[in-house]
Amino acid sequence: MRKLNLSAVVWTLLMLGIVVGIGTLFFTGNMGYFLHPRTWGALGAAAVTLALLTLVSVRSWRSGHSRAISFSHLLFLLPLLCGLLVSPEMLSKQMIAQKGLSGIFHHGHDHSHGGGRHVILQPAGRIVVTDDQFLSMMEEFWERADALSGREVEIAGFVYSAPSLGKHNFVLARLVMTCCAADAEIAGMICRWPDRADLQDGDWVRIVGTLAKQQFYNLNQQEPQMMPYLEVKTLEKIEKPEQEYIYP
Amino acid sequence: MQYHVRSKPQGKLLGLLMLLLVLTVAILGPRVQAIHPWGAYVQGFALMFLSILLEALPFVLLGTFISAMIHLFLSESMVARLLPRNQFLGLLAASLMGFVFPVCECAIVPIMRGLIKKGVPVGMAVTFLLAVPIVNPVVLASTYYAFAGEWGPVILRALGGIIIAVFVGDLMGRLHAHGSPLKHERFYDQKADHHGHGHSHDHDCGCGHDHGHGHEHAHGKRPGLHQTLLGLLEHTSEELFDIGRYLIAGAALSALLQTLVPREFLLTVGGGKLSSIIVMMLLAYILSLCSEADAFIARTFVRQFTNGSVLAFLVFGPMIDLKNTLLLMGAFERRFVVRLIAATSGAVIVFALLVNAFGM
Repeated sequence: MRKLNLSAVVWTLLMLGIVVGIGTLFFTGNMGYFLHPRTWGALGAAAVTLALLTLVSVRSWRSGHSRAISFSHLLFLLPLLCGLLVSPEMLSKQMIAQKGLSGIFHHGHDHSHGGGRHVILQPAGRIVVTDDQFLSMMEEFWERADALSGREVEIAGFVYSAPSLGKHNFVLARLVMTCCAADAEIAGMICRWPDRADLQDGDWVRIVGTLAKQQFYNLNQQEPQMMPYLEVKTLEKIEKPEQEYIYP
Repeated sequence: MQYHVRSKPQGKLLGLLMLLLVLTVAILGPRVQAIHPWGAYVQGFALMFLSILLEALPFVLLGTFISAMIHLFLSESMVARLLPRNQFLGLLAASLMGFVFPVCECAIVPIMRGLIKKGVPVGMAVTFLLAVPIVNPVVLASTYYAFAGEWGPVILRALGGIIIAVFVGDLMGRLHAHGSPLKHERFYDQKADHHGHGHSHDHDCGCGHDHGHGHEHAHGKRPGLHQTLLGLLEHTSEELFDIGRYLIAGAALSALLQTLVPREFLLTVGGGKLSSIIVMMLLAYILSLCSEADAFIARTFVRQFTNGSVLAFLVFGPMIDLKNTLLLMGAFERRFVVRLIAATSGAVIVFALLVNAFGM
């Protein structure tokens, strides 16, 4: 019987670690903090394949050649260490700040027609924005701010303050994940709420406000621009929702 | 085999170190964040790093699996028979392969490496590498959706992808007409000669190591289905190790830069016709987005940046980014990778300048 092939054993263990890590994310329900649900199927299939590869790799424990345990093996350890270190949470406000606010100001282009994603609104009464409709509602408020002016809107999200908007305003924001957490972008509405003293960035709130329009500084275009905003009437703090991200 | 790499004493030490690291982190766990003021950044890095990896893993695995299939089932003579005679038609066909293989930029590198090993000309392989992650139905559909049903960006993106991929492929084909650009290829060629043809496929992995595949003993007689399947899985596993480390390094670098450098820092730099293009290309390079997602990011820059620069972002990112640069470095000679990046960058800049000049 040949000597135990150390590098093969390490490689098996590393793959096993990755499989267990992915499995844990699925079973604890934390996968949503990393990936859009649409991609979960592919990842599940990958995990099953990887489990198969792990099983097969056991065969080379006593055969094949041994590599030196090297820097490469350490590299494979990095994701496992990060997996142990990370706490499943939405991206923090520091990370959102690094990404910037451009996602909030990109509406209102002349190319938004023809997308076929318009929501149909009741002619009167309060507009309640749900997760499913969040993005198309934002679009709608930007497109038809004049027609919808004065309507009452109910919406939930987290508080994000941007210095360029002035201290009496904040962004009622959600993070939109297109594929994975690294591409998450902020979306939301500017809200006016002079009484901001006890509001912290990252607090989850539900507000009722009136839709109006006013000039704000548009960071994208580096100039002031008329933008829709919500004049907040009532604001209540809420627990963070089960599903923190918006998955378009 | 006489060129085994034995695990040396420092190898064992490194193994021990790995074990210690795992234990320490497992015990400290998420508490590290609370203790250290940089905790938020560690957390942000870990989240983005892992999410990039998890997003890429299925595609990389698919890529290594297809590559292993090419390795085991596609012979050089078959490739030679299938290749079109006309060089231009060959390049054009390679640029449209995305409609047959809609894979993204993570899966494409191992597949391309496998194809070159089987005798596909470098030029065609480069065109294939550059075009497939853009010119495929999934990516074009997501671009259409991201730009709210406008055809302009979709058509320009596809056209840019085809033209640039064919041009750069042609150029790289001429530059590397003689000799393979694969890493260590010559080394393995010599070994193959030495061992005779029957063994050569055990040694052409181009990763600087000798792989003793479990299926060596199957030579001579025709391998059964069971053996073939095991061989396929073992080869996939080997290749995953080769490719995986570069993927991890690329994802880590990309996540690190996104964690530490505010995007606005980049964006305030450029508004001019040329500078905006270069800034957007840099951004695409660093972000290393999947080509399915990048259109959604790109649209947030419309108006703020020139149209040419947004297109440059859409065309350059899937062709060359930080993540796949490292994948390429793992598979090819440095000279080849540098030329490829330089030629692609140049072509994209010219394309984007043209778009800006015609005000599209």
